[in-house]
Amino acid sequence: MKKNVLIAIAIIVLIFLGIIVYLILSPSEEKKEDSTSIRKRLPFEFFEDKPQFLTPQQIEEIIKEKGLSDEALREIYQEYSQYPDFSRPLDKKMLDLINPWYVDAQPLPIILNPNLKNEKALQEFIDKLKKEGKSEEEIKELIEQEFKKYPQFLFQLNRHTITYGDTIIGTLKITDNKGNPLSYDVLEAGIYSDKHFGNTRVATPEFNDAGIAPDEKKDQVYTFSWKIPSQDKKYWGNLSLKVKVRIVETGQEVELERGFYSSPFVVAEFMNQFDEELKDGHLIITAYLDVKKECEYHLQANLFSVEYDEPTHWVYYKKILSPGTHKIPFTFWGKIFRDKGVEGHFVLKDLRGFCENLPFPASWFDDPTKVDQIVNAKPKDEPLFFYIPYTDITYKTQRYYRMNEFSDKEWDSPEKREKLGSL
Amino acid sequence: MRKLLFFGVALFATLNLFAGESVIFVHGRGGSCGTDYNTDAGNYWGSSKNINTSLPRYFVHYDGYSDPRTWGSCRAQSKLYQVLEAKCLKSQGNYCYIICHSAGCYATEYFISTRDVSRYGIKFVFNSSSAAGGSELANLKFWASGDMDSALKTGNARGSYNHNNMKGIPFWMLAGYKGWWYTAWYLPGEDDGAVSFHSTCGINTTGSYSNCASGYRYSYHYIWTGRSSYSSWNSSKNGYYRQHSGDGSDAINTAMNQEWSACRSLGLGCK
Repeated sequence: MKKNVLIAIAIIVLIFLGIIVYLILSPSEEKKEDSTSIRKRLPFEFFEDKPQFLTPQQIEEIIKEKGLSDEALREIYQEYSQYPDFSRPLDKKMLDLINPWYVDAQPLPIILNPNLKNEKALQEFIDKLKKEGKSEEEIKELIEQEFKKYPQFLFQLNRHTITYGDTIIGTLKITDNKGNPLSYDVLEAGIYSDKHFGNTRVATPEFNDAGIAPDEKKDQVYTFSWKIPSQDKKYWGNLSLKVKVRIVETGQEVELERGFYSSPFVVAEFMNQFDEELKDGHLIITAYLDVKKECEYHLQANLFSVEYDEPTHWVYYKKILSPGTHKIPFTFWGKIFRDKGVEGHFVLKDLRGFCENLPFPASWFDDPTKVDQIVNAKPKDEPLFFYIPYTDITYKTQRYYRMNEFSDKEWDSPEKREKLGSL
Repeated sequence: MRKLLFFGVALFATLNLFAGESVIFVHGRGGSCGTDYNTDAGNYWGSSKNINTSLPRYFVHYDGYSDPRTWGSCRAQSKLYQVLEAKCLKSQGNYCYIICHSAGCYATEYFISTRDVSRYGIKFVFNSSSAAGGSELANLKFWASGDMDSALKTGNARGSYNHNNMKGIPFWMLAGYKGWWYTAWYLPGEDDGAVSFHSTCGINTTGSYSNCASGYRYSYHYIWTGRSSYSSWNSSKNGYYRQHSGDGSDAINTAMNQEWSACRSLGLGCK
């Protein structure tokens, strides 16, 4: 019996020693050193004297060496998972989040030949030319010459999506093929409905190039504006602003178009009411949301440092909310403040959110017995999104937060540990 | 008996090495809906689906003319959800690698951005000519005006969800720049005949880019640098001299296939 006990003790001691040896020589420690050395030798975006985040370019340095190996994935995930999914660092180059309602337009050709206007017509045109004996090179040359003559248009909108109470503003600039501005007259302008509601004309936008707001000045760039007049379904979905113009220099009449999304219903509204607290070293700003339609809301916001005039965080919060007032706790992860080296007052901006027009209750997503029903649900014959109306409400924190008040702890969760363990 | 036990344990360990791992393909615009995720409905992927892998392959096939962000029968979101639930649940020991093409990458990004994906073991997403940033061909109504084409307008594709919210799942971008000569005039910068670099490279603004490494990419979107000597990778463009569609030596999906092989043979993580 005593012999057995001694053997058991010996085994435990050996296991214990084994663990110590493993911890000393474990590859994860080497990986940590690798990661640190990569961070040290790569330049950081901001605050060069402070620890910062690896940029995509810097991470690409890692994958150039290690490809998609589990080691590379682990290293990248370790870097990523310092902060949780729902609270992430924001920097000035993340233009899509810094200006979340805006998508830049690109100049496009004004296609004057109907044969080149769409895929079907173009294909038929090419086939016809081929039948006439033209070689592919000759056809290419012919089309290229035509495109070289075409003027271009830049139809820029202030928002990719318009919501109830907000105004969509579009500016239209037409240039010749060398980029010189061309004068034009607007013959007609209309707002056209979503395909689900017949693609019909539903409104007439205001427009001018006389410097009357929102137009800035008489400069051969017309400004078009339109505000959703009511919460009518016909204003919902993918709308088009169509404009018929005559180019003064050439006398050509052309129709130009720019699409945008429109969400006329007030499904929920951010209220100008907030709370703030520091919890476990993380800043929580609670926004109040007045929900009118039950839905699964995807809510986001940005945080900026007042003193440094620097973006710090973007945050995400998703939940099924029933009608009534709800407190939305946006969590700004402490370590991000520490790593960015910012303290002071902070301002919450760019509150935004949407919910999807799903063909089944969103609660089914968490129910494994509903998979077949989700897969076989009859799709909605309606537009996809309800947006919370645009708001320019901001909230500045009531007090000054010192750096050492923020936690420097990395995010930790069973999910993170499991993922790191699996790589 | 002891030998049998040892053999059994060894066999179990070997099988477990790749237990539950799979490759999931998500097609783009124009693909067809099917009922069996074991097959490539409508042969969308052609020979490019025959990647050099020891893993089983599954196919998300939806109505490729419908909006890739929508749910329901034959819709991309539901079909992707179905395959992930069946083949990529971590609780069942399943892990997966996603290969997407064009609007299939848009569907995949949208899914990851808007759903709770923590229960899935998605290791990475190989993006072959991603249309997640939209296409100016859709802005110009060059294609027939279906729901997919509306969804592909740059304002919709970029504005409707947070492309940075990839939950720690890396997106490797493979971008082509062999524009079809008859559509190159419609698209800004380098393009593959359907989508410009601003989308295929995962750049966070539209623009006219001649190098895939230009601009600033969405978080967790990385350029996959060519490893295969066959894939027409050009280091000065950081892209592939390949076009958007098709299944020949010109096609970006063929480059994807070749890159997977190179990635596997070099031991870089593709299995």
